[in-house]
Amino acid sequence: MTPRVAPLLALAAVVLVLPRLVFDSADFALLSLAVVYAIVGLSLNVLIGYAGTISLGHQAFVGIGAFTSAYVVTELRQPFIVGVLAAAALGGAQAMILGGLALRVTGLYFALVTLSYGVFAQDTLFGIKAITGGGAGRAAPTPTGDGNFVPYYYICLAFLGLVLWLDWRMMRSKTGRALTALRQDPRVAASLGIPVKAYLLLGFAVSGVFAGIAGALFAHGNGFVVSNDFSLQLGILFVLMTVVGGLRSRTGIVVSAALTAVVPLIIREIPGLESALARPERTVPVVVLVAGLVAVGVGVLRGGRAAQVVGVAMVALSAAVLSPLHVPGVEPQLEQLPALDPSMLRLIVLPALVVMTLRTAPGGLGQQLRPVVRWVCGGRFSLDAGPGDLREVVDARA
Amino acid sequence: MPVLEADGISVRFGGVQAVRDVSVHVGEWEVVGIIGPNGAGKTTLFNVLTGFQRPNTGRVRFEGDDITGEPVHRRAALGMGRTFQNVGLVKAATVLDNLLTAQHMAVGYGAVAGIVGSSLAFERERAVRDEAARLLELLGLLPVADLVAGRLPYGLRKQVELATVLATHPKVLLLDEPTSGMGPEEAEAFGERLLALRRELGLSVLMIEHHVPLVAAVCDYVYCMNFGELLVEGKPDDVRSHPEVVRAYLGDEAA
Ligand SMILES: Nc1ncnc2c1ncn2[C@@H]1O[C@H](COP(=O)(O)OP(=O)(O)OP(=O)(O)O)[C@@H](O)[C@H]1O
Ligand SMILES: [Mg+2]
Repeated sequence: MTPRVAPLLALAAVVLVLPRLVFDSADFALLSLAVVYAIVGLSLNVLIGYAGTISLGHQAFVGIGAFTSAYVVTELRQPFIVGVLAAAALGGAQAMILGGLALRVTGLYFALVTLSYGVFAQDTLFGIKAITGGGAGRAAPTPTGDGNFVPYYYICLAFLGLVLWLDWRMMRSKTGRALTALRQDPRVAASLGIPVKAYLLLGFAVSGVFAGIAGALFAHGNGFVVSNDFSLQLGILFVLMTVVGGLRSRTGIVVSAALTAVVPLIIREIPGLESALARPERTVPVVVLVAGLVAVGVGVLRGGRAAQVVGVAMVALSAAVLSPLHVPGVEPQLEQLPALDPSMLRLIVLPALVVMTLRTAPGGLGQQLRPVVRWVCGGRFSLDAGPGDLREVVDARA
Repeated sequence: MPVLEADGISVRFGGVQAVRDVSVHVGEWEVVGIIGPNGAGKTTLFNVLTGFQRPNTGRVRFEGDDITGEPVHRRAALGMGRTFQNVGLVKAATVLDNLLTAQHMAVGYGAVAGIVGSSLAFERERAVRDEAARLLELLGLLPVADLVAGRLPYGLRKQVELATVLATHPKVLLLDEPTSGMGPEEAEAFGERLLALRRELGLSVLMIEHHVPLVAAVCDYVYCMNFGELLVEGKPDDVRSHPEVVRAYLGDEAA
């Protein structure tokens, strides 16, 4: 299959040119972050999607990359690229240590280990003053100059391209096949001559390298790194966006991760949304409204009568509260609620999307985008999902 | 010199003595059968031979070398190919991908070379694909090459599994109930296929099998297990008519 040229050019235009036309140069900091999130998503995908394990401490993977690069650039006075390489190397090494544990404990217990690892890293590891600057953090100068994020965005894109290439080659080579085999049935993999433990470790290493790169880019995009950047909340956000994007779907994960990152931008661009979020008496009805619309949509698509009825009721109710009519007595009640932080919004919306992903669209966003991707790659356009293991999300072993 | 040899194997799971002091041996070019009722310990013995189960006592030798402590993948590299009772395939992958996976040891480039996309890896991948196509053609599986393995009917899955094991270039094949789910005619055809493969590839075979006519037709030697112990061994016809074997299979009323 030879890729179609026109849609690829269109894609290039959207990624390379469109942001210049639509956004201010100040917004490019956030766009760079979107690219960083995409790399993080691909990194997690190697563990969850390919190797069938889990990491709830991926913020630590990213953080180690961030502090490594910041240290190498500011303390050792090395160029940016050396910082990124060091972050990639250390990211891979620390992931392999954690992977060594995965050989001994599995399932929920390993999930707990990764969770503790993330918290431990934030509290203790990133508090080592000599390396991380302690609570005060460490400077990580943007290589393209302070506040000059437009070229930095393109640097990040180049690294995303590199990660995508490595991921693609890996899955088309014996490593990808070995990971698939050991995820689905380690006994079969071993009896075909695949050293299961070694390949699981390799999976961790690759994931760690990707995360290290993402961490370095994150640090130098921020200009500064502090341990509080890498909270458990972030680690959970990473897992959610990856699952919603669709395990084993590069396109889905990149899109989902990028969207997750630019939520603040989206909120700002939608008139009135930001101020509405600050006022719970407005927010709650809006959330109910959106949830109602989603319920109606799902109900119509999948023929669920109950979902449609409930959805319509939710839409009607929230519309009444939001309308100038005011429903007496509701508003003062809602005003008692705390204001909703835009970043918390993601932790409400994404879990809902994960549930939807698992219930109605296993394969996530990637599955929905698949017909387009296949068409761009030169295949026939068809809405049929086709064969493939995107659908096996549900059985992702913890 | 025997290709595969097990000496005094015992395996205990808590209170269950799954295998007790069992010795088997498979010579070059031999087709050896293991029969026995359900729960006799046949699969457990296979697990010991292939390295999935550490025996409590006993040694396993391959071409004269002690391999009792070797991991599964190293035994595969030595030339032991194994099928599973419940069909061992990468279920979500296509038949073709299963055959590519099975050539893991033969691809001839390093993992890192594959990830960074070295030209050697590209070249070798093409060779591996050709070999997969050749094997599928040989076994008449080319029409299903692009189908997802786990969604094939049971009989086809078993054939694909055999193809994947052959793709690892084994010297000895260990087959765990290869004809389960097959009718008598299919089983007979399978027996002929097996003998042809032995001729063409110079394989030795150890197989767990319930189809007694098939065992009689293809096996040079047969072991019968019951309650973890070797009951009888010998030529197929002698074992088949042995009163102990008849009793083990049919219960006491037949004796
Ligand atoms: N992992 C295990 N843990 C505990 N007991 C086991 C285990 N594997 C097998 N056993 C027990 O060991 C005994 C022998 O089992 P095995 O599977 O080897 O029998 P088999 O001869 O292959 O039977 P079948 O014809 O049903 O396949 C059985 O009693 C079984 O319950
Ligand atoms: Mg068995």
